[in-house]
Amino acid sequence: MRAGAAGSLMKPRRWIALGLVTLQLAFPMGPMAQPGRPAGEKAAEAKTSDASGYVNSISGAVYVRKRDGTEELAKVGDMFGPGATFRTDSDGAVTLLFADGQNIALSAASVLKIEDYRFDPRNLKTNRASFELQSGMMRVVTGAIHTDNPDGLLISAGKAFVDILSPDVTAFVLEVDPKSLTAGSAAVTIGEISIVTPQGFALRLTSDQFSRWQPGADASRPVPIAAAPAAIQAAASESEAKIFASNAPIDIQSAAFAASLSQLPSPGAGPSEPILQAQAPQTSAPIVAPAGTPGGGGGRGCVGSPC
Amino acid sequence: MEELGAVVLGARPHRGCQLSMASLSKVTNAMARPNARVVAAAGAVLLAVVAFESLRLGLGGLIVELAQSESDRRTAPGRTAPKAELDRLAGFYADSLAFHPGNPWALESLGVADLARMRATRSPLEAQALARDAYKRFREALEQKPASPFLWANLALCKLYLDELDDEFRAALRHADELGPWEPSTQEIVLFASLAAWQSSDAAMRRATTAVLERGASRNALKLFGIVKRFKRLDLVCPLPGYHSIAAQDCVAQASAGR
Repeated sequence: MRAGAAGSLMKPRRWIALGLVTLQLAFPMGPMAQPGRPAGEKAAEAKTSDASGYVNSISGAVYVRKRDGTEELAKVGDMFGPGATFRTDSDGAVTLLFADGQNIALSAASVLKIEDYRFDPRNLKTNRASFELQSGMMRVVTGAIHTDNPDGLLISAGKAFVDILSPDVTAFVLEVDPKSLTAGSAAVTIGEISIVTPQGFALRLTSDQFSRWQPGADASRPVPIAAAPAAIQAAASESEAKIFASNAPIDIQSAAFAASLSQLPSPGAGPSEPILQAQAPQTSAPIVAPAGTPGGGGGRGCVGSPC
Repeated sequence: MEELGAVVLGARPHRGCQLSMASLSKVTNAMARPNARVVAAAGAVLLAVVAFESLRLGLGGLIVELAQSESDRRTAPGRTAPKAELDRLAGFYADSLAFHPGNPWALESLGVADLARMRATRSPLEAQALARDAYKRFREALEQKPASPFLWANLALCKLYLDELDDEFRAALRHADELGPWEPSTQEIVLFASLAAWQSSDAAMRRATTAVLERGASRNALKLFGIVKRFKRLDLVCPLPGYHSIAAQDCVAQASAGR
């Protein structure tokens, strides 16, 4: 009798337990995964789902102005969309990675506007991107948009326009004179480009070539990058070393998250450095080496007395 | 000492004639002893200063010498040394300059190391700063060795990397060419920098470039031809007889492509 009473008492508990198990099976981890997320966060997620790219690395002060006109200090892992304008201080530099695998690094005292960007891996022919370097210097390594829809990629440097001629991954450096939008220079490390200068010249540059344009003069004859100014040589060398192993599209959200994690103080989760490109060795050999005084210069046999 | 005082002050002049040789000697010794001490002390100080200076200069020179040997040992022709290695080398030269500031040899070597570091860095800001540093070192070295064609050539190279193709750049090229017309490394740099700045060069500078090619044909033709070829300026060497043996094939190919 006592056992029967106990069994009848247990019945409702069993029903409750069974109900909870059924609920858990129907919505696995639901209550744990989204415990009362604020509406703003959900909106942010919806907003970042169409992110063009993210900030992969930063040094010095870098600012980003969004489409709505607000400007803020950029940080590693920040995602951005079309209409964003990046501005670097005199000691700043930033590397941006885009969804299609494209990579743009902005040097110090530069301004870059991402005018347009659309990338859908399921519909490659409709993808497009448009960038405008308004001042300073940037290096570009093209991604899937260029490979799959070459006409979809538009790049301008001041009042000059870049036409990428090579069908595969192309890497180059562009510079706009901060004093004049009609003066600038370009260096190609991989591939081939053509530049329509503001003066109306079409300048064709292939791998390891540098040239400049300025008002009132013909575009200069291309010269090897080794004869370019020091800053251009360094940027070209960097672009040569940061070619993707493949220009496969990137999952921006997870890559941005990984980049943010890498900024955590040690011992933090995630990799110690942002996940980036395969490192390629520097290939261009110097054309001339600086002269040294024979038998000395560095001092051999000459220290303290004339040779 | 009393005698000395008497003689000096003339307290007992009446006994002056009676001064014996012994007492004179005593007087002389007494007079000389303090002076000798002073002289000896001054000499010792001088020797110490000379020894210290020699040690300082010697140490400075030794560090440059060691750094140069290290550089020669590690730098094979055509090999670009890693940046860390170059930084370490530059550190040696900087140490040497701490011992002997203004040593033109150390300045020249440090300038050369700065240019090598400039080539190795991937930071545009750092590259610019290193080129500027190298320029300053060559300028300082030139104050002591104004007749060195190598320093003038390196100065022109710095100006090129700093994108300052001004009168100073042209003057540096001219001095390098005038002071070392037969030096192979000077010829190479003068040709390289002149071709890089061809667009902004005047007729005289272009004539000087052709003259470098003509002079270099006898002993440095292969290197100079290599530079001209990298700049795709075969038109400069094809008419020169000194280059016919090495440039003939390329000249024919260019001529047929032009047709």
